Amino acid sequence: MALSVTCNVDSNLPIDFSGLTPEWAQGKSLTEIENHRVLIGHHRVPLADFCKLSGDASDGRLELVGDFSHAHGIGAGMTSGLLSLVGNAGNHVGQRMRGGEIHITGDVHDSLGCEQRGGIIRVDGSAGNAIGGSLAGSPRGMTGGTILIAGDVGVQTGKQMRRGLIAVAGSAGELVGHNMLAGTIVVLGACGGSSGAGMKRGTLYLLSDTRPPLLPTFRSAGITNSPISSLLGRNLESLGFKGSAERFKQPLELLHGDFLSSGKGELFLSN
Amino acid sequence: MAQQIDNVTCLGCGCLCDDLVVHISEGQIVKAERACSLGEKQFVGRHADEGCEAEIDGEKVSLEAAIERAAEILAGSSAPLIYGLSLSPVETHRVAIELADRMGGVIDPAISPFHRAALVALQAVGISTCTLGEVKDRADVMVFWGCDPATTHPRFFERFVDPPGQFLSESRQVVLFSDQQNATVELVDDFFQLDPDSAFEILITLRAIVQGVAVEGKSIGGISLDRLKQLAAELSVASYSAHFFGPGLVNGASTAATLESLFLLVRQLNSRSRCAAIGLGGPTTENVLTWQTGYPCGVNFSAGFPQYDANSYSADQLLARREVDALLIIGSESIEYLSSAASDRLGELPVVLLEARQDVSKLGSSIAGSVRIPVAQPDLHSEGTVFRMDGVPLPLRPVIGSPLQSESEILAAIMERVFEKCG
Repeated sequence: MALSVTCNVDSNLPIDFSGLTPEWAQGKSLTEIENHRVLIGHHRVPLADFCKLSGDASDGRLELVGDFSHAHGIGAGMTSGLLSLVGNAGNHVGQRMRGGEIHITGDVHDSLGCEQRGGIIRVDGSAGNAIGGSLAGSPRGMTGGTILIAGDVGVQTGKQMRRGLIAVAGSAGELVGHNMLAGTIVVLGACGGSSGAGMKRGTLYLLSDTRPPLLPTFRSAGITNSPISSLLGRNLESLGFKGSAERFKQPLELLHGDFLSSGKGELFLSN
Repeated sequence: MAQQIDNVTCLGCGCLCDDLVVHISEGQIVKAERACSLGEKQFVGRHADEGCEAEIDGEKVSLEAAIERAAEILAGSSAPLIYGLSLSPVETHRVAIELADRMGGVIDPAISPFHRAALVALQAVGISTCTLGEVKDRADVMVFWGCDPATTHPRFFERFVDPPGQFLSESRQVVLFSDQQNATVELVDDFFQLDPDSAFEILITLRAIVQGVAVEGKSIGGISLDRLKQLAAELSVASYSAHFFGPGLVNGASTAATLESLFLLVRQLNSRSRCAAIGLGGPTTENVLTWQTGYPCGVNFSAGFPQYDANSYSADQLLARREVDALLIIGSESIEYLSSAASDRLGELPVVLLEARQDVSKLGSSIAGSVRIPVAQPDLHSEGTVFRMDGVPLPLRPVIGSPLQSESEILAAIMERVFEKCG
């Protein structure tokens, strides 16, 4: 039986939810968890003051229910278990997460999976800017793991990404894979301009029917039917990312870039 | 009795002209020599006994009552935000940061969107910069990116472009990139009118040309590739090029990427000769916060130590997301940097406003639960230190007397009352 946390807070004050992970709750009694103090604004208040708790987390599952759109850092630093949220979430969900799974049924704000190192994040709704990206001044973003978004995302998806996989079923804003070092990003919907700007290596699949505006520092390398693409499509299907496998089976246009950095990046477009 | 005060510093724009000569007659400033149109508004017509009363919810009250109410609002808040300080001296910043720290609030100096993006870009790739004095004496090529100094910094050309450079043998070349015709077009040698929101592409292209990378296409962002190649060649052979950037480069969340690209171009050009970039904005406001906390803006003290996020802890985002329950604004001119989503929230929460001039207030009278406290104008009534847009500190001194207290004195009084209430 999972530990269930239902949010009853009726204000918009920011809540720091970092640290409340399945592995932290595992082995703790309900009373211990209820008495855990959480930062709301600048006040530290017991979790039970604004959440109703039931069940236990001995099986490594934590279920959040309610509006957590002002709760930031949900699942940050998580290493194992399953954290599911029925509702919306705030900023920095899964920041520096190392393992386990986060599943959010609603929308998420900015910096989802920021500097993620492992594990999987699924979002049924949309996400904000800089998913899988880096914190200000940090040399690299996501270095491992998987982020699957069923809706749309904002700008700078996978900024300075070093490894890992991001897949977006909806549209993405500008600068997908900005300064990307390695890893893979898939966008099935429309995509903003300047994708792959500054990318050194890594792979972008921008599979919308409309060709996104590209930078002049990318060069076409022809049409390809790479077996790797089909494998990636099947891998995404196996992860529950529906509707992508067929697109990967089609011949795709391959471009190399960004030649301003090293030109070793790959950008695949629908043919 | 007529009085003349030399070398007065003006806070009208980021140039911080410190060569003004102010003439005072019968307690009123009658003339400000060398002042531009912005400087004249700051000084001319102001008089010594100018003052106004504090207000609570639009009702005139004593200063003590206003300070008491301000302290009540801040002491009763769970998530206070301190915003503004765009024209405040170092002394005010110090007290404001201490107040934010001790209250466990967020402090976010009002910084124009392009300057905020520049701070983020600076943290990613660094910036090669210099003083305006160096620009004046050494720069043989000046490039303005998305700015209109003839309007926003009226004496910029007179002070830093037109004078012959001490180490220049020939006249300098001045170039403007803008997506619209503006007053500066008449003053430059070469004008590149680019398509809206295409500065990033153009900078990428210039970097590619300078780096020797082949570029595809005939025109980028509305400018022919041949013209960009010619400019890149001129920048490459320049002995000292200076790049100024401004609000025209703002393009939502991509602004930082654009400025990152500009700073990388400057770095590339520096490998051949000297090159620098400077933001063409107001006085820099991040200095004190940076030296005290290590972070330039968006600093949250709620956990008991400074945490930084230029976006999540920006006043704009916190207000738009309603994650603030009390707001202290120092200088109503700061409001212009807020988005409409954020400024629309001002009427929904208690606001404490410290402003020097209610007659030119940027805030309407519709702020609910507000406390307005008049303070002395930094460059007119009180002394202190401010930073020019190139980071050079300049002194302020009182030009005429005022019955009003300085920003730092009022803030210190509020802080004292807040901690009496909090124990």
